[in-house]
Amino acid sequence: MLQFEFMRRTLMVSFMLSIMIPLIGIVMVNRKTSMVGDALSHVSLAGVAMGLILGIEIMIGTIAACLIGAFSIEFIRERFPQYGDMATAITLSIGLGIAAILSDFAPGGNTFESYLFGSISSVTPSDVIVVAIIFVIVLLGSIVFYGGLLDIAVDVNLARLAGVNVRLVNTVFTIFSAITIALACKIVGALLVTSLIVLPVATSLIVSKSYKQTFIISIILGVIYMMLGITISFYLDVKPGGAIVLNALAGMLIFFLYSRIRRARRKKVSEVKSISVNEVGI
Amino acid sequence: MKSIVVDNLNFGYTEEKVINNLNLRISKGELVVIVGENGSGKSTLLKLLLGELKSQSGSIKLFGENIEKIDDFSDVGYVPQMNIVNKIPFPITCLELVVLNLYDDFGFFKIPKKRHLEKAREILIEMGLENYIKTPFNELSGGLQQRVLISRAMINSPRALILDEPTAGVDEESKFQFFKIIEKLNKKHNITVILVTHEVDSAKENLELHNIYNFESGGLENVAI
Repeated sequence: MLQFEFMRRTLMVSFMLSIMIPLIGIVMVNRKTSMVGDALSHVSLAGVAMGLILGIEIMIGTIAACLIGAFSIEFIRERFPQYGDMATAITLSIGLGIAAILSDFAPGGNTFESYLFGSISSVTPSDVIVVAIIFVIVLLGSIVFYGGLLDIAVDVNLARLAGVNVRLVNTVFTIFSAITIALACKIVGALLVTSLIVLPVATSLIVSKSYKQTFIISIILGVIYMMLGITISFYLDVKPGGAIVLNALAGMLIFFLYSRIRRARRKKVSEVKSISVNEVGI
Repeated sequence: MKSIVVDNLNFGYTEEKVINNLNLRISKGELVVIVGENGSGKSTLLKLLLGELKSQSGSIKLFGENIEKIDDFSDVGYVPQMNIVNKIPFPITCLELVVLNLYDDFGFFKIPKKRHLEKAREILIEMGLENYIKTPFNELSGGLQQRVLISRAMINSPRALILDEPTAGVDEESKFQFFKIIEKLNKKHNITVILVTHEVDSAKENLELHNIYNFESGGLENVAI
């Protein structure tokens, strides 16, 4: 697999994305806004179609569409806070509607379709450079804003009193999530990006006892799911997005069974302990 | 010196005023209870005192400084209502939760350093939580969660402590322990305490209160202790 230039590029980009996506995902899941990721990935399709029609770099189209989508969600949410996730649904519908219409005019139907479920053969050398630059920025940003992002997820007001610049942290996070999702659509596929945002975090939540643990386990799982998915996609000639999701599902099941077995064992040990205590008459 | 001075404060979410020409003076080291019916404006007053809302007219001064000019709230420890924080949906240890209140001191990379974690550990031990330092916050009982939140509020050694309905949904023993902690903080460290509660009788029974204010018609009325 590594003898192919395109696979080396795909694996490099996938590795960086598999770290970036859970970094965004952990914040989205903790804030109960993971469906924002779903909305943005659908909105990115409008960017794909626009890129094809205008003949510009598709990545620029997807990033622009996701940024507009992300700030639209924030804008609607700020004005209608009482309607919960309505902002996400509105943005998703509009983005998908525009994508559906534009796709009829977009040349290269295969390219558009490859963005739905992902493709391992479409990564260009310039993609590697762009993703590498953004990877460094998102990674650094996630470390710089680690405390702020966590405290806002606990409670916005407590975070503000602790000195967190809530508006700045939220704006930076919105930009990071829009760009990361836009980049991920190419390999993972717009319809399946959410799975990589949510599933590694959901799996780590089954066993984690702290935020730090959740953070580390989510990233490790993101890398495993992604790299394994790309490898399976190459050897079995299946779509990478689907392979990644099925890996994640298997991972979740393994972690779930592990936690059940661990709990059952603990219960057994405590039963044995209580019996022995009774036996000695305490 | 007065800890809190509120003059002719007015605020309303609509045209109807929730806070109507409210005046309040709380001296350093005072232990004050604010009582009132649901929807009387207690929470709104707290939001104004904590800078979450901006008043429409009037002024609030904390330790002599106008609230609109305050960026750093480390002088004020805040313990929110339990129903706000006990819904944290993800695992976060007591240590992680408490240390976050030192955010301003973390430096450029907003990650707690060793000295911050040490300070958080110390305050948790001081509050009798040495066995729960690495326990996930959402696995604790209401009484213990409340103590963790007081630890968080106290980590910056604030000059005033504001507590919003801290005894709601907490068992009797935990309430008793809570009042003991508040009494100690107020007497030993001379911290100004503002306690917003429904349970004025419990507060009267367990604390040596300096003043009780009743929220009525958008203003505060001093009630005899």
